[in-house]
Amino acid sequence: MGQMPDKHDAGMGQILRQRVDALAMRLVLANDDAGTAESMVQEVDALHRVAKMEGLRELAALAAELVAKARSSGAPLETLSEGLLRMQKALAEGDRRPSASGTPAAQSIANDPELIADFVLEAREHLDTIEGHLLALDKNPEDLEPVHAVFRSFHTIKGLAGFLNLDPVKDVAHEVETLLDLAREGKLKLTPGINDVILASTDYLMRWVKHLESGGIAGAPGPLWENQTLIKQILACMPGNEPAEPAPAAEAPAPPKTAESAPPPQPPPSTPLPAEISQQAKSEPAIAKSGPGRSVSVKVDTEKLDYLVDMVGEMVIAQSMVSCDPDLQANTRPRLARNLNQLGRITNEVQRVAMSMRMVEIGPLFQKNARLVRDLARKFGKQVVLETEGENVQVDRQIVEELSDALMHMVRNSLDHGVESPAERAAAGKDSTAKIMLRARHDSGQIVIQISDDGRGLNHDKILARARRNGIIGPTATLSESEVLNLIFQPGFSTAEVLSDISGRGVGLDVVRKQIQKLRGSVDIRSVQGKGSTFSLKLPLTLAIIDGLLVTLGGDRFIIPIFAVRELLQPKPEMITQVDACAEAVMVRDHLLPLVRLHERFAMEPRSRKPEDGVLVVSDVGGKDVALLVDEVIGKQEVVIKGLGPTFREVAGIAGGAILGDGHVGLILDMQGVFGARREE
Amino acid sequence: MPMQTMAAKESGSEAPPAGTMAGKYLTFHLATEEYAVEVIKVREIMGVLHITRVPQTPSEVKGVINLRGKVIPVIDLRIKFGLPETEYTQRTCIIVVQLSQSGTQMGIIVDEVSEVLNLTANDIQKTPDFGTGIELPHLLGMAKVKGKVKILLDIDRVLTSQEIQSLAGMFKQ
Repeated sequence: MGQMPDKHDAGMGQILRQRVDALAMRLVLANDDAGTAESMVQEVDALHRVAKMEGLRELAALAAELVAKARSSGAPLETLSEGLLRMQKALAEGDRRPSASGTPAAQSIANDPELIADFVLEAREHLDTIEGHLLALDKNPEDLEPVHAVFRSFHTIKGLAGFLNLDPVKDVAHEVETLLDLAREGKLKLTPGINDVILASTDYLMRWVKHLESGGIAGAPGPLWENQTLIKQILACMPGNEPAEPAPAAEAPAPPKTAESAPPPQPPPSTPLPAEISQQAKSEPAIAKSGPGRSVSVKVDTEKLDYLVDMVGEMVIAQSMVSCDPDLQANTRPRLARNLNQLGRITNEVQRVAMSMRMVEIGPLFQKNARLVRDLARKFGKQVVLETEGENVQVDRQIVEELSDALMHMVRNSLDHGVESPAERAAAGKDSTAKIMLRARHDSGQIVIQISDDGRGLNHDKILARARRNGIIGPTATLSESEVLNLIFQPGFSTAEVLSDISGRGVGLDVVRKQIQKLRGSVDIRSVQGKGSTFSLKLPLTLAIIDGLLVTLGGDRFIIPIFAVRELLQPKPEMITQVDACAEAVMVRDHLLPLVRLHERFAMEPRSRKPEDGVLVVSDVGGKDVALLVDEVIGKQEVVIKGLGPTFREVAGIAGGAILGDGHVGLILDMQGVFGARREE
Repeated sequence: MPMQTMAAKESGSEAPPAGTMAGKYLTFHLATEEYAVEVIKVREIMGVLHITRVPQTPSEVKGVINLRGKVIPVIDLRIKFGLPETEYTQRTCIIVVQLSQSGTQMGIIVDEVSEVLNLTANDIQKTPDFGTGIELPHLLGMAKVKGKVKILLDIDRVLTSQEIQSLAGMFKQ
């Protein structure tokens, strides 16, 4: 907290406070007419001049702001009550810690970019979890656990915001907290309507977070400061809410009670006394520090992180070079050996942690869509549940970031076009609640994300007709099933007819495909009319950690992504059948699988040309089992995929490289490429 | 490493017209001749360490190495220039250069690194015309120092214009 330059004259402060209090009192008693408001605005303006003369910059700024706001406001009395309250608080805080900042002034915040960064980080985290919990609550309103969690999150945000004097944030968080407190005690049932309001508050807070994150100044009034509508909405959710309450009371950021003293809310007292408010403000920083959800995250520059990971890699190599050094190998002293082992263990652990820092789970990305589905479904009057699978699949952070919009677009697309109205579904004999699935999994060295719905599916004829009309295809072109489906990714495939009004908003699926291609992935559609459609996004593993199977061929080592591997076996000569001059098959448990000898594929010299000296790696490539012959299987290893750079982009069968334990590079096989099953594009 | 990248960007944007070619060059031996590359492009010099072969690549591509956690390709300059291959010795070096356009790093294998020379514009001559049919766009020029000729390489061209084209052509079949 920066020291404020304000000199604070206690006597003058006292007078000012009396005048502000008197004004507040007048406001409570005032009739709602323009004349009253104007006379009060003039009084505030006078206060502004006094405060300025006294060097009370914060107060002066507040007053000036209030004058401007009240004059332009449609409801000057409300604006006045809000502003006066803020001035009262400023005065009270000024008394309490004369040298510290006591207002939602820009200075204290601007002085502490680190505090802001902390707030942004932490608030964001909480807001994310809030959404998840609320959605859980939607499904199961009886469960109290999410309520507690959401309450804690809002409480923490309130505390932090109070600490930073972000009053608009604090006030909203406070109201929601009050609401949740009631729910916690069973005095209020959280209906979807109320959840809507809470979600709206979350959005409001998120806008603040983004505003601050983008370097926005907290103290500068802007559209973000407008939280009254929201607060009214929140207050309207409270039981025993009294709409007849005079404006100022309803506006007041609430009964000055903290979470500890948790009596159910009475109608808010009319004019809150400065002393009480000061108390509240005082207690908040303490809460912020000891808040239950205090995060332990730090924000780190990704460039630094990447560099760290590289350097850790180097350290691992250096470590293994030292411990494999012949001089040390000859060593017989147990203590040295023990210490070297210890060093090795620690190094490995450091490497593991460093590698994992670049990866994030895909869950939060799915979560975002859960929110989208909920909102859209309510808006369209459709009944939809979103189910997710594989939330813990680890994805490179960059992929998550760049995928977010595309995925949301596709989910919106599914919900809008795929899912029918409840009536339509009932007529088709389906469950009136539709299901949208988001799945993530690893597959053959790629990450596959599927968006499927059980809606009406894509209509071939309409797509064809549309494409013909828009000149995407010629009038006589004949297309295969999947070619027809892929037409919807064509730029210019405007969808007004096939798709409904909302998603045809100019942004087509071609944008989605472009984004996926930018990430070097592909999109695939399957659709059954009347049963639903599935969009599969296949994304590369760039940078992703995979479990690999380390195999040898001649003197070289290769890594086979392990999730594709089904089994390993030692072939017998009679299992292998020469199908024709250049194709072999192997009989594995009554199944005839295509066989590829890796050494032939890569034109390398194997240890032995006899299959029975080697090992067959049976793996799943694009849904089919295939067998690959290698010399030997060394074992399993977790590796980070590294691109080989532009020089090797075209090498079929190689997905990338990885640094192995001895510091050498191992090549990662792209099984699809090895088996020549490379898809077009 | 970020600083190195920046240095490379500064140096790399302009194609070197004759006259501005003066500067520091790293010279190295390859078979009987001495070659030179601009020092500013050189990131690192190291002995030959383990190179992982990459299947289905042209013979001059020796494979990839681990450069402090980064995987970079390594080109044998002898094979690239059609010179006879030799065994690698203690003196064989990998010079890691950074390409201007893409910023990618590549290693080139040379027989022996000799010295860093400060060449003035007077030392440098244009590549003589060897007659029609022989084009040497990958040469910046020649320099004569103490009676000896050094061939100045435009390493970007050596490794990209021909390199990548030929590789790409090869893999597409």
